Amino acid sequence: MIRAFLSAFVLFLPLLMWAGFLLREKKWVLLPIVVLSVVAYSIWRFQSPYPAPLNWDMWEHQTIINHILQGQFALLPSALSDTFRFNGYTTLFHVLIAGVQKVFQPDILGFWWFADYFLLLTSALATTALMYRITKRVFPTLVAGVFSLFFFESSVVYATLLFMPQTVVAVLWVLALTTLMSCEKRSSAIWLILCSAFILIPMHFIVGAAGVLLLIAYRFLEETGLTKRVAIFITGMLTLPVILYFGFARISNIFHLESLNFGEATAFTQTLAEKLTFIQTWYGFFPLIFLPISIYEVVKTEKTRTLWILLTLIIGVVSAPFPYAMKFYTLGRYLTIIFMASGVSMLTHKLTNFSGKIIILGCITIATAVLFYTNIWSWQLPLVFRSQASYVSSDEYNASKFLVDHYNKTTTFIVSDPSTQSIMEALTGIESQGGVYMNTTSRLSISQAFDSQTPNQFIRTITTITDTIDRSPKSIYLVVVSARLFQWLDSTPQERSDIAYNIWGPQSFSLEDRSHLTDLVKTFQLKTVYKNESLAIVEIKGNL
Amino acid sequence: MNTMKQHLKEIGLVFILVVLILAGLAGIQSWPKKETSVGYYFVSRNTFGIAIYQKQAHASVQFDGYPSFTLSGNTVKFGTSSTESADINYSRDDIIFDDKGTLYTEPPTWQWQELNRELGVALTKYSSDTRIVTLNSNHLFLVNPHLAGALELTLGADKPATISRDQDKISNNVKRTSVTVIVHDTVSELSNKIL
Repeated sequence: MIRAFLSAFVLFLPLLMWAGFLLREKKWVLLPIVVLSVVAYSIWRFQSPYPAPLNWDMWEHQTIINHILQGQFALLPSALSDTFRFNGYTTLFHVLIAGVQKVFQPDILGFWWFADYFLLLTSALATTALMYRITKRVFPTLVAGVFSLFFFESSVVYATLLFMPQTVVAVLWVLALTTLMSCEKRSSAIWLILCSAFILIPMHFIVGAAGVLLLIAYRFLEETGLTKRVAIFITGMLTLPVILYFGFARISNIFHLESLNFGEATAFTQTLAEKLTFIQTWYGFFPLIFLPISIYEVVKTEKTRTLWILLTLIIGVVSAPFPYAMKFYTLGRYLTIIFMASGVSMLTHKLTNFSGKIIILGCITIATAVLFYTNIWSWQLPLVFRSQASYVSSDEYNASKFLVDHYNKTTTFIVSDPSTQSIMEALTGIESQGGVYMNTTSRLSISQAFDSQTPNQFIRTITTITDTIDRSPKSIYLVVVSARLFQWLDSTPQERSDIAYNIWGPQSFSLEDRSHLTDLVKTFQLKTVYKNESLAIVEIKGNL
Repeated sequence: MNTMKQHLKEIGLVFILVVLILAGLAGIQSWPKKETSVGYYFVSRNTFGIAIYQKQAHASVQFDGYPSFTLSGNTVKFGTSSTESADINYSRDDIIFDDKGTLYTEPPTWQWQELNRELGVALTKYSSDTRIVTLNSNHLFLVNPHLAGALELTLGADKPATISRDQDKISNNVKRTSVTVIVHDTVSELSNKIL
């Protein structure tokens, strides 16, 4: 556990130091934020103790990290593993993690458990740093920090609690924006934007590039003084989102964007009504109340007017019926929080009484914590298995340890349903075809294998499944016959071929599953090498 | 006087802000439904009473006549103060047998055989095809072939209950104040409980 903590801490140390530097004038603000971050993370983990994972993206990232740890390298993840069929980023994110994992040799699940916490903390510190840079006042800074900790965007965005490239890019962007606001000289600003571009874009092509464009837009608006005039600000604020909304809507009509990322994009295309429902789930009616109030405060200073224009730009894009449009909100959430906190600040400005401010801060903390609890409860409920919310069961974890101890990574190959094989691949370093993004041919082959009539037919069909990147010969095929696999096989053909459909939560064998397993082993004369309550591993060995 | 006015103003502001914060909270879409996790199962209230079930499984055991329950580890105790008899409704595919090895429901042969294999005991089918069966024991076991785990039920009275094979329910013919349910992770855990 200590090595897991240290590895995640060292990885986040530069970000923590950067945020700490930006808050150097009011260092004591760090203390309540750190304490409240522990409270928020405890609520998030109240039914998901160490090291239970709640981040399903970790499997594909860990697979790439495993390759890098084995001495392989490529600029794009798709060159290392067929889990990546779409390159949304370079391997920069994975190289950094591989570095700390190489040094500290942490438990994999433990590393990701702590990394999620440090993401929550750094995102809150980045928010407070930005708010302090704008207001130079402690009360709104703390309100922004509390909002950041307890407002969790539990669909598509996942800004604070799931450690992945887009969420790290957003934290870096907020820190860069806060630093940019202090840059007086144009040359310093250009250097900062260039350095940000070198990190943000390789970290996430779309969100990173959007972040860089927003940094440029911020500096441009500041330098040209376009937002100095209130009339221009109001016109921009009202027209830009509308132009962007219709522009993006038009683009999505011209191109067949549904085919983007092998159909997964359709699962990430939401209507405006769906997006508004998401926002209500994350924030309650807080934006409805505090954003309009904040306008009064915003109009007064040029810096906030510029930031408001950036927010309306993001809202315009996010609202559009465009696949993955919500991902841009990973950046927008920080500005929304800043302005909501600004609305609270505007109302409390006349409140000179210290105890009055403490009461309000206490009420905000309790209210947002309640909202956070109701939000995460419904999010975690489908994952509750044996009284614990997790993407992986202890049975699956134990099976992965068995494979690590008994099999050679380079000559062995795993076959199962997309969920099971992605977990096993990440935890063991043994290849599978595509992990959770298994291709259609392999999905069909697995379904056909389990309908086989003879042992030869079963083995032949299973061994047609091969890694599309690593063509080295495999001497052992391990079929992980899990309760998830049986449930996946019971799904409709459309579901089985759907890249966005998976048996996400852990499962255990039913009486029916056990009977199927017994029949399978007997009919196909398979050798069971490992078995527990949730899965059995059968070995197909020989000259394949 | 001025200080008084200032205080009143501040109290007013705090009041307005607290009201606004509560108004923000009013946007909560749905409050968490109280679902208590017990092993693979969940216990929660629904329109009819209290149910034990597994997520997305479309199979539950419904304890309608028991308005309250207490939980201790993997044991759920359902209680009632009513003197009326209370029924327990199970799902169509559930397999019910008792601690004497008598099988009361009518599962397909393969399920019966698989259950025997898991238990390491050969269950005996109830001797007649009658639709309402009087139980030989108040100590019952319930296994759904499509779900993981098993339930152990102790009806807690000396007079026998009945099972309606057509209506999928266990009926208490006398007043019963409680039913104790132990949730098991595996069917094989039941083997040493069969006499």
